[in-house]
Amino acid sequence: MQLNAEKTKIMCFHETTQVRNARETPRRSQGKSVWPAPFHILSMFPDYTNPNSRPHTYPGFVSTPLQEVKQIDYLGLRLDPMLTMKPAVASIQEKANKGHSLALAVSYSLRYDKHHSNPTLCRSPVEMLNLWKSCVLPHFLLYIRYISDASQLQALQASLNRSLSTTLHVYGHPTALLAETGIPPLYITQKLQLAQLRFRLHFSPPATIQHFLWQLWQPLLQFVPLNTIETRMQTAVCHVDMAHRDPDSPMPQNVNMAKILNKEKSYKKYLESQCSDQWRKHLELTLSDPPGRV
Amino acid sequence: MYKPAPYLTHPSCPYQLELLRLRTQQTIHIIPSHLHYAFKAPRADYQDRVCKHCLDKGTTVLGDEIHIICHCPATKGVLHQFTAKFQGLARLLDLPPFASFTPHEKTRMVLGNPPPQVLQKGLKVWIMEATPICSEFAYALHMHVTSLLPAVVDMSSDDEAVMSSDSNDDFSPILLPPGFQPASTPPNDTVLVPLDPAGQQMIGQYILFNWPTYGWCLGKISACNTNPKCKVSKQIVNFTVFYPDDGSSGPNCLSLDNYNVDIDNDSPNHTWLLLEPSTP
Repeated sequence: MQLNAEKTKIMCFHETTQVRNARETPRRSQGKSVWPAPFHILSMFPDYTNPNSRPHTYPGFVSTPLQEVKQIDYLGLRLDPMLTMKPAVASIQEKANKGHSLALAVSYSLRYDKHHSNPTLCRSPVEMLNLWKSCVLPHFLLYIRYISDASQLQALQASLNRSLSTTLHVYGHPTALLAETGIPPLYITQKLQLAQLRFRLHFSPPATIQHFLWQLWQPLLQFVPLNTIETRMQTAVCHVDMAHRDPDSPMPQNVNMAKILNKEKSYKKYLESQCSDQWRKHLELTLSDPPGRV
Repeated sequence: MYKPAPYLTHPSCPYQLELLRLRTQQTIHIIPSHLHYAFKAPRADYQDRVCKHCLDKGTTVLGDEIHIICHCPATKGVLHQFTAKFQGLARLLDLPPFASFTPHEKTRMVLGNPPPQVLQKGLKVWIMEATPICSEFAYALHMHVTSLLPAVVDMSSDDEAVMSSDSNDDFSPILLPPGFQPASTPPNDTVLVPLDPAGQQMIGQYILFNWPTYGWCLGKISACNTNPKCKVSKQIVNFTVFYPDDGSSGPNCLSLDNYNVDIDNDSPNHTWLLLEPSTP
């Protein structure tokens, strides 16, 4: 098996300016300028279709330099060198906008196209809500756990509110609209996902790599910065499920009774009930004496 | 809380959207306590968002949902109209009589919240039976409150006289092109109806049209529009007008609503005037 050099990129995380300058400038060695070796792939099988392939100094090897990029999509999540997550947020908003356009186009088609004209569709909010939930909402929720900055989360929340309002043609109080449609605010969903992730890592099978890494991290957790995902997971558990902040404490009845493969789903159900209470308090604070669901 | 509100799960119900808008505080002119969400006016304190209908009669009351739906003399009639329906609904669901509910409970019920007595197994019946009634109530309340709003600013006769004298002072007539004079009477309404064959009578007539930036331009009606999809500002075009000044022609929506009856030079843009050849 050979890596495809065209599809392989390189990106240096958390690289300081000094290190990058040192990497990009030659250094003097024995009176000669020696350039640092670029990132490359060594292969024993020359790829004649790739013009970047060149013979290596060692016979029988071919070296293909890799392209260094400023951002890259890894499993759908757009990463940047300093992990500011700004490109990731922009990517989420771009995908959500496309989904929003799709939902509006389908809505328009259902209402006005001749072969299935139904002008009363706009009067049925549940149809539009289901359409929006399938086209737009998943983009906001998929990578929400990796967004650590509160301002970025607020920007995503504003985009979500705007998209939901324009889809349903309801321009009232955004928080009340979220409550009516059963869509929790993103910060609550983020806490739920982080708590769920900690459950998944802690109760993963002992022979897996993720369990090994998780156990390896445990003694070091008190030394890691506050914005790391491990710390944020622990904080989220303290917020939504204070009773189980110690992962070894006994789990709720429905989680214990569930099958092994369903334990995480049961724990998520339990967390949703906890988050509902938290969301209700949030609504009572945000909408003083609201007319809606509370 | 992770599911939509019960009334939203009804598959198809008229005025369901109206109920959603009322509950999400969109229709701010219905419930005065929601007025703080109006972006045009400065935000008032909650206790100052009083009911305007009661304020006109010298009473200062907070205009919240309970007051507007149950107490306000100007609007509580809507609930009286629906009392029989809600009474029947309470009987169907084995609830206490609707009249025995407190105003707070009535408000919650008519806005689509199931009373605590409705158990989980009865929720489906509640959704199917209560949602149409609550939605219809929301629509009726909306229409009733809208009908109470003043349509135009009421002016006294003295004010009208002042306004008319002011407007006469500022009046400046249109400078007409040579050889033309305003038509003695505006055109008949029927000839201006889009797609109407009677519009053929207007072909060849001269008009003055007030374009933004360019001002009053002389034009000649060259054709009637026959395409219902040809629209300008969501209105079906009725005529194509040729403008000899720049040799262009374009679609126009000529109606009596934007006819310049006063021959006023300062009339708004997109107004027009029918011309006829002046007699020597």
